[in-house]
Amino acid sequence: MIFTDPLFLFVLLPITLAVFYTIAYFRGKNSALAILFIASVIFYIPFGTASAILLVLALIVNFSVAVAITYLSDSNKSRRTIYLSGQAYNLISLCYFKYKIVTVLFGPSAGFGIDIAGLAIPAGISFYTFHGAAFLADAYSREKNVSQFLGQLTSSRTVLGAFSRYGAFVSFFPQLVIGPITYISEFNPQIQSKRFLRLNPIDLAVGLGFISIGMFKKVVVADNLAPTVDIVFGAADIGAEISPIQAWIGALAYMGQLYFDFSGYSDMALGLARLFGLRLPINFFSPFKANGFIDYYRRWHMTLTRVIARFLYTPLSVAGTRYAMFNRLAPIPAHLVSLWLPMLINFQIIGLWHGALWTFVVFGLMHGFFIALETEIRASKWYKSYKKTTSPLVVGTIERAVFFLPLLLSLAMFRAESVSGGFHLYSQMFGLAFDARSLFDMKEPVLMLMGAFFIIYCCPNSVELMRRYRPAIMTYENKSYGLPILRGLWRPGWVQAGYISVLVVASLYYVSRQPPFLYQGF
Amino acid sequence: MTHATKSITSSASDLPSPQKRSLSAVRWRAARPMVMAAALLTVIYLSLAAVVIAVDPHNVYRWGPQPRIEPGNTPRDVVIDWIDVAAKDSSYDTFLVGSSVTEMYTPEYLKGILGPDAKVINLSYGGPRPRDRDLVLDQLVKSDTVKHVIVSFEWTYIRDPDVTNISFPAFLYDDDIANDLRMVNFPTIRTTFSVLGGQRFYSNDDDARYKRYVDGMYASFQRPEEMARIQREVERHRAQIGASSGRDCASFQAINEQLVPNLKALSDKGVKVDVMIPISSYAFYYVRRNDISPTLLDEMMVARRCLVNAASDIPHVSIFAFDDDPAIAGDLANFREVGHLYDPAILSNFISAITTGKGRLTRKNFPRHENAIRSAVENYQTTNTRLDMVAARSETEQAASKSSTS
Repeated sequence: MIFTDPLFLFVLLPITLAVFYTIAYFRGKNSALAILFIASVIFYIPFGTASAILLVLALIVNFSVAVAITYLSDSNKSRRTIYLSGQAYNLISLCYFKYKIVTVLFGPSAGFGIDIAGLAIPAGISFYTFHGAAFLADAYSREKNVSQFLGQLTSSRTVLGAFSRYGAFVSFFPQLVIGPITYISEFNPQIQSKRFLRLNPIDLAVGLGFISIGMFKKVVVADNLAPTVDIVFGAADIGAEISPIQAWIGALAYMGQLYFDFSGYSDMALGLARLFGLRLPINFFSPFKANGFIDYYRRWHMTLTRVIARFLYTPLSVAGTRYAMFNRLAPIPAHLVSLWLPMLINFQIIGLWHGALWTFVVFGLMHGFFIALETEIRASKWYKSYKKTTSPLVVGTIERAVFFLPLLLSLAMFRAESVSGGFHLYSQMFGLAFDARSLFDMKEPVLMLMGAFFIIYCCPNSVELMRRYRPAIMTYENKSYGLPILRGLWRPGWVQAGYISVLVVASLYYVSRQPPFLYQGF
Repeated sequence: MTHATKSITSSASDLPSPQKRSLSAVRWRAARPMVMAAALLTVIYLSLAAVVIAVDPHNVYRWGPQPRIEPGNTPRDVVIDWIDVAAKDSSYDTFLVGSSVTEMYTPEYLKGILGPDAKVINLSYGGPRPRDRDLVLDQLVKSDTVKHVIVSFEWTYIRDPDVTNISFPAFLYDDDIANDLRMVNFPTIRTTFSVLGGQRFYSNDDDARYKRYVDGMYASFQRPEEMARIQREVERHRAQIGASSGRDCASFQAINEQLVPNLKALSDKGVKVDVMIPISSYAFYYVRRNDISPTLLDEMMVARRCLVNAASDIPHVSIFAFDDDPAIAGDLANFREVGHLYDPAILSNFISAITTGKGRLTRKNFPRHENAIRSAVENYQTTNTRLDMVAARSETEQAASKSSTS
């Protein structure tokens, strides 16, 4: 199911809410979390029965490993082996089902193994796998929330209760398919709080606000930009001649589509969780307002950035720094192994995380290169003295202007159906084929784009709008850019009720058209 | 890296009971409009959904008043919602399943060609794609009254079988009942209330608008600048136009897994099926290679060959094509766009071929047909007899006026 599906919005969600708060009132926390777990599995089943079985299997394996490593003492030698086995399961299942590694290695005729790998990529596999992996790492490092979350497992009833809690944590439907990737240190304190399970009307109001804004972003803005994107990128893939104006419109339209698709999803996820009294970590915070790639990754898919940084970049960078120190490397090679190489690997993994396609490899290389370049420029004396002597407004404007083109080009490669298609689009954007046959009527896409980019650059984001109600857990401390007057605070009331009604009715106008969220494919 | 978890401070839990109650009351008061709006929207949507499903204006279920399409009406693009309405209507036995190329045929016109006994309806809509075409044919296979199906075979069959027309309501015709709530959109709600108000016949009265649209398209296409532009494209791509796509019959899944099984299923029911390959101009292959496929000509020829090999021997199934005649497909005067025929006389011949058997493709005559088209396309020079005549007349008039002036 997807969040914008009327069956979800008007049937599953209200029923789950009602049952959750009723059970919470009469039966307590464990039963209420079990309801969330069951609802999440029901939410997931439309993605395929095989995928649902794989999800439940991943939950059982990770839960068993987490329990084992939590209750075994540090001196027990098998603790590390069990932990590594659990992480190996996560890695192998990801490689097998998402990256089709068997097909890649053995070709399309390797028998039984291929038949299973030939299944469609299970929805959200990388998200719930990362969730499970992060939980295991926390359990292994004796994060205090883990043992509190699991509790004392003295009977089959307590084990079942712990499994329900764990199932609710990992497969909680607002975050199951596209994230955010939540840490147990963010989830557990909330469910231990006395306020959890109390029906707070403000939670409902904030949640409904987020859901309506997110739905509008996805259904009305992103999905109306999609046809232009499909036409232009489809034509680029077959090497068609495209007029430069239409090639730019296509690339910009994808920027807008991706932005509003992911932003819409993120808003809806925050809103849905809030209806149940839970806050999720922020995953999206006006990324196109960033002043460079470093800032961008603190605003775009922030929970993936921090997971990759925690498990990959930081260990690599530390190992590189140690290697450079022990081997007394010269400054440039030392810089290479401690900074550049870890960055390039980090962004290559981020690129590949989206799927096993060459376009993602090129995208990862581009972003790794740009980040390394930006890091060097920002560390240079020239930049520091320039920044000191120039107005912050001028610096910020120049930085954003410089950042825009590489971002646009890298996202065009990200969307392209092949690397050659991506490069062909670049050639058309900077080409001279002004007399090429028009691929689409430009009036509507241009108007849509103007509206979309006005919202992106001139309006506050939903988290800024609702910051009075602490809408989410801060993942990074981000600056809010733009005029403060545009960040008017949102308060529930009749006017806002009118707004959400308009947004929902506008979205329902397109109810028959239900394309999936773009990140669902990753 | 900071990922500070903001703990939830609960000042409310420390307050004495009356204050707690008043805080709760304040919160409820503040949130009430939002909650009420959401509840109202949910109740309204679900109530409308209940009414729509109970009335069943698209006739997709077994209940409801079973509305019909007005006899003689050509629904064109709105027919995508009425496929079951037509397929379950016993007053029709002949169905034209086509595309924008065949949208202009009215039932009266078709009757004139197929005979007065034909109970015919035109289910053509713009831009069909393999998956939605498959769903339309599936509905006809299920129909008990169908006797004759005319189906057009467009270039879209070179695409993957899961490609769907973006506007087509696939959720109405698939087997998944969980997605049926998507039908509760504004047009369906309006139709539902019309049905409740006693309306039993649907019609799309856009004949005049459609004629204006087609005539406007023809007028804007029939210009010397447009022909010059096409000629430039022809010259630019002439060297690559016949390039091999490398595709074989196994790669046309939409034909193998969707169209041919549907043809067999209809044939098994004793239904007469005529597959019509729409007439595209030879310029079509040059112009549309840009946005369909660089090897469009080869792919379309291979696709036709595969269709003829797979379906021409199926009982009751016939395949027709006419674009091997340069006088038709080579002359852009006959077209309103490179892929859309305009000339009424040719359109009439196209459909009447069903009765005469002219232009029927078989395994035996297909190689000649294919070679003729390939050769005509590869050697094509933009031709437009209408514009040539206009230009000649204009020259004559100019000459006459010059001579009279001198």
